[in-house]
Amino acid sequence: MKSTPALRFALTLAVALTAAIDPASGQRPPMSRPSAAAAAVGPSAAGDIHIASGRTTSFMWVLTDAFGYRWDISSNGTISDGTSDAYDTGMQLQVDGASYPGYSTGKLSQDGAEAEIGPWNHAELSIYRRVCINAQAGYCRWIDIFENSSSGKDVAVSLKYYFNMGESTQQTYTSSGGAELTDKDWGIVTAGSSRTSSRPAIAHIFGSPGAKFKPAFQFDRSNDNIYYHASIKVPAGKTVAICFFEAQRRPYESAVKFLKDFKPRRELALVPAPLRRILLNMTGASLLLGEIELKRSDKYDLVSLRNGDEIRGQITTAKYALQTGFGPIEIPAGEVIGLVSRSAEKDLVKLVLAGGQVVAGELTNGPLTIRLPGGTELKVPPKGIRQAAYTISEKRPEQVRTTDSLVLLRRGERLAFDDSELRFAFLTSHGPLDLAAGDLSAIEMDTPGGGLHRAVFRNGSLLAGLLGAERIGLKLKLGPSAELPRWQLGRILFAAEELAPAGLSKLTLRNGDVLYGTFSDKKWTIQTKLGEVAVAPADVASGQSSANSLGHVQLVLRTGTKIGGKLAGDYVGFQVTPGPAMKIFVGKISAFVGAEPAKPDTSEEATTTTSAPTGAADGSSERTTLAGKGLPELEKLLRDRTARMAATQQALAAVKAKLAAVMNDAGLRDQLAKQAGSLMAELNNLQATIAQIRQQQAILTQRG
Amino acid sequence: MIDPLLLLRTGDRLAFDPELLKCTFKTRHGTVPLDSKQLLEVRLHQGGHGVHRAVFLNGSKLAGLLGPEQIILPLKLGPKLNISRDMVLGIRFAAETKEDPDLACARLSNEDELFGRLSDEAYVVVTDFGTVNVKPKNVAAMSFDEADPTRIAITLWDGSTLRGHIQQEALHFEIEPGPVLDLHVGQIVGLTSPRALPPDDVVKRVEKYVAMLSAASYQDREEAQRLLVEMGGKIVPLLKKYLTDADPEIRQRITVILERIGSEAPGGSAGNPLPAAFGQPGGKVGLLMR
Repeated sequence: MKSTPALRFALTLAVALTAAIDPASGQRPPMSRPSAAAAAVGPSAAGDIHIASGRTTSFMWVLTDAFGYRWDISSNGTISDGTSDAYDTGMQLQVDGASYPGYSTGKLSQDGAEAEIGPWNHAELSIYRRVCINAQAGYCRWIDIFENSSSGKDVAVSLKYYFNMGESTQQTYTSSGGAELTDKDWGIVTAGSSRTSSRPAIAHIFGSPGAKFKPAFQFDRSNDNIYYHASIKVPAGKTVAICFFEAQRRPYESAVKFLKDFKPRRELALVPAPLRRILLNMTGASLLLGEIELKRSDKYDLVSLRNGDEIRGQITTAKYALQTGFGPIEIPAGEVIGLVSRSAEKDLVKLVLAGGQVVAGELTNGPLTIRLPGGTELKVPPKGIRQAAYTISEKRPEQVRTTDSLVLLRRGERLAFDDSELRFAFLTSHGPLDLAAGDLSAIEMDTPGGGLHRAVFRNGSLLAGLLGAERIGLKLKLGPSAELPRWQLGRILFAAEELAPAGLSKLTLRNGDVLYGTFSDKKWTIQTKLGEVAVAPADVASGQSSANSLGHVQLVLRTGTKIGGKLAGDYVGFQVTPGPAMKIFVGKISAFVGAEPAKPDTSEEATTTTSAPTGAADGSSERTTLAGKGLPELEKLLRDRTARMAATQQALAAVKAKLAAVMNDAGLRDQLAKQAGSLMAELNNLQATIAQIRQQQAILTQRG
Repeated sequence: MIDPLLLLRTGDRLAFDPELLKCTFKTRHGTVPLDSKQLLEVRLHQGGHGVHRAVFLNGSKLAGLLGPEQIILPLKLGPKLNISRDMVLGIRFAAETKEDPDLACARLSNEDELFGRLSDEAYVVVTDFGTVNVKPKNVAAMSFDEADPTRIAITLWDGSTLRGHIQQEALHFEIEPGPVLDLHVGQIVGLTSPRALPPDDVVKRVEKYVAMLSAASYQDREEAQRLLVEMGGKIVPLLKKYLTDADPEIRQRITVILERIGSEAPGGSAGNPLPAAFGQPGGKVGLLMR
C-alpha cells in the first residue's frame, strides 16, 4: 500500500474523545506553588495502560523525528542532549526527592515509537515511564504512571521534574501569547539568546486548555535550570498518570508556531483510551471534530452555560428541529452527540452527530431540557448555552467514524451525502473533464501558492483545476438535497477506498500534479539524430521531458536502452486508472515512470510461454503482457513489435554507418558504439518477444 | 512602453494588438473579464499545483483558468496566429507594475493577493451588544475566524475593534483598476486598508477646519490648525490631499499639521495591523495564515 497523504486520513474521521475525569482537585493553586491533584479514576493498571510485552529496547534509545531533531532517551526515561545540546538533561523524574532509577532495557511498542520502563516501587507506588517519539509530528511525549495497588491507603507524593538546558533561558513565549506564565497557560517555549544561540528552542506542554490540574513550571532567566513541580494523591487501588510533551524547533519562531498550532487533545487522541482517561493534567473529556471541541463525560450529560456554570444531568430533549441553510430538518436526539452555540443573540447552534456530521442552523423547537440528578428539570435556551454534550456510551461512542462521503463547508459544517453516480465537471488546463465521484478521494477547494481547486484520486493522483459548477447539488444523507454555492465548500471527501497505484505508470507534471494510470498511446515516435524510432509506452521504464526544448524527451527503455529526441506530436494520451482519459501537452510533462511489470504468471500456459526460445536477457515485461491475451490482441502486439523491430534495425544500421565514418574520433566512436550495443540488445529482446507471441498464438490456435 | 507579447513555450515572443485578444478568466469567484489595460501579465506556467494566474498592474495576483483553449490572434508581424493555449507560457501586457500603497489588500486562502477596495455599501455585523452597520471606507482591517468565517473582527479607522457575525457571506472587492470579485468570507485570510477614513461627520469637521486655515483672521487660522492637530493621526488620510491645495497658506499649515500628527497615523505608513486573531489575546498580530 502506498503511503497515504495526510489529507486523506481526514476521511476516516477518527475523532478524538478523551474520557471523563472527575475534577476532584478543585481550584488550581497559584503557579508559584506545587499544585495538588487527588483525582484518581483509573482501575489498577491493565490493558492499554502499559505497552504489551514483546519487543524490547536497550538504552540509549535514540530516534530522530521528521524535522531532524534527535531524541536520545536514557535508561531512566530522561532526554540526554537532544539536538545541538538543546538539553544537558530533561524530564528527570524525582518522587519525594528520590530520582527515578535507570533500567537496562525497556518494553518497546510494536511500531518502535514508544518505550516503557519500570515499575519502580517507591513510596508504596509502582511507577512506570512511557516515552513516545512522534517522528511525524516532531515531538516527544512522556506519560508517567503511578499505581497504588494497596487496598485501603491513599498515597500522596510530591513530584519534581528537572531539566538542565543547554543554556540559560532568555526568551519565552507562553500558550496565552505572553512572555510570562499565567494560570491559564498550558505550555511555554523557552530558548537561549536569540543572537548567539545555535541550540533549538524548546516547546514544553504540561497541560491542556482548561485542565484544572497542571504541574507548576519554574524557570529562572539567570540560569539554565527548569523544573516542574506537582503533588498528587493516588487513591487506594487506583492508577493515575501525568503527561508532558516536548518539541525542539529552530529557529525560535518555529517553536512558537509549534506551540500555537499544538492542540493537546488532538495529540491525546493518539494515547490509548484507558491511559488517556487517567491523565491528571490533560483532563477534560472532549470530542475534537474539525474546529469543534466538545467537552464530554462518561458519567453524565454535560451542559456548559455562557455564564460559566456547568450543569451535569440528563438532556431530555427528544429531537432537534433546525432551520438550516438547506431547509428545515429534524434530528432525533439519539443521533446527536452534542451541540455548540454560535451566538449569544440567537439560537444558532452546530449539532454534532454520531455519524461524524456537523450541522449548523437555528434551533426552532425551544429550549433544551435538562433533568438534574434530583429530578428537577431545567429549560435552557440554546443562546444561553456555550455547549452541551451527551454521555459517552455505545450509541454515542468515544470514537466517531463515518463511512459516508462528506462535504466540509467553510463555515464548519460537515454534511454526509450520497455519492452514487455523482459526477463533477472539472476544468483543467488539459481541457474539461467529467470526474466520477467513485474515482475520487477528495476535492480540495484551496490550493496555496495561487492555485484553484485540486482533485485527489483514489489512486493518489493529484490534478489541479476548477470545479466547473458554481453551485454543487448534493443529496444529503440528512434528507434534503442541497444546492451549495461552490465558494462555501472547503473540501469534499469521498468514502471510496483508496487504491495503491501498483502496476500503474506515474506521470509528473511541471505544476507538481502527479497522475497514476496508463499511457493510452499505442506508440511514441521519437525523432532522434539517427532517425525515427517507434517506442511502445509499455516498454519505457522512465522518461524526462526537457524544460527548455519543447517536445524533447529522454527515454530509458526497460532493456536499458536510452533514446533521446523530439517526440512526434504535441500530446501524450494518459488514462488515470480509475479516472478520466486525458491528453497531456508534452511541454507540461516533467517526468514519468513506466508501470512496474507484473510478476510472471506461474500458470501452465505462462510456463509454456516462457519456456519458448528467448534470445534476450530480459523479456519479462513482454512475457507478462502475453498472459491472458486473445488471438486478436496477440496479432496486434505482433504487428507492433515487428514494426518496432524494423525501426530498431533501421536505427542500428544508421548508427553503424556513422560509426564507420568516425573511426578517428575516439569519443564519438565510443558513444556510438554504446548506442549500437543498446540497439542490439533491444533488437534481441524484440526478436525474443516476437518468438513468444508466435508461440502463444500457436497454443491458442491449437485450443481452437 | 513595449508591445504586449505572447511568450510561447518554443521561446518565441510575439507582439500583438491587445484589443484583439478576447479571453475569459474562470476563477474561484466566478468568470471575470480581463482588460489588457489593467494587466501586467497572465502566467500560464505555474508551480505548486497552480493553473493560470493573472497579475494586475497594481500587483494583484488572481488564480484562474484562461480561455479559450485555442488562441486566434493577428500578430503585429502580419500573420494570424492560431495556436493551442498549451503552447503559451505567458502573456505580457506591460513592462512593470504600478502599485498604489493606499489600496486595501485582501489576502486569500489560496495565497492570491488583491489590491483595491471593498465596494459594498455597508456590512451588517451582529455583535453581543447589538447590530452595527459598518461602512467599508471606515474599515482599517478585518480578520475572519477559521472555524466560522462569518465570525469577524473589524478594526475601524480609529483603531477600535468590533467583533461579531457578519451577515453577508460574500464581500465585493474591486481590484483597482480591475474587475469586481465576490469573495466568500471563508476564502479571505485577512484584509487591511491602510487609508481607512473616518465617518462622515469627522470628514465634515476636517473640511470645515481646513477651510478655516485660509481664513482672513490669523487667530482663526491658528485655531483651525490647533483643532486639526487635536484631532490626531486618524485624520492624516483626509489631510494629504490638501498638500497640493492651491492656497499656499493651506499647503504650509497642512505640512506643519502632518509633521505634528503624522507619527500618530493609524498603522503609520505601513498601514493598519490586522485585528487580533481569534483565540488570541488582543494587541499586535502578524499576518493571519490559514
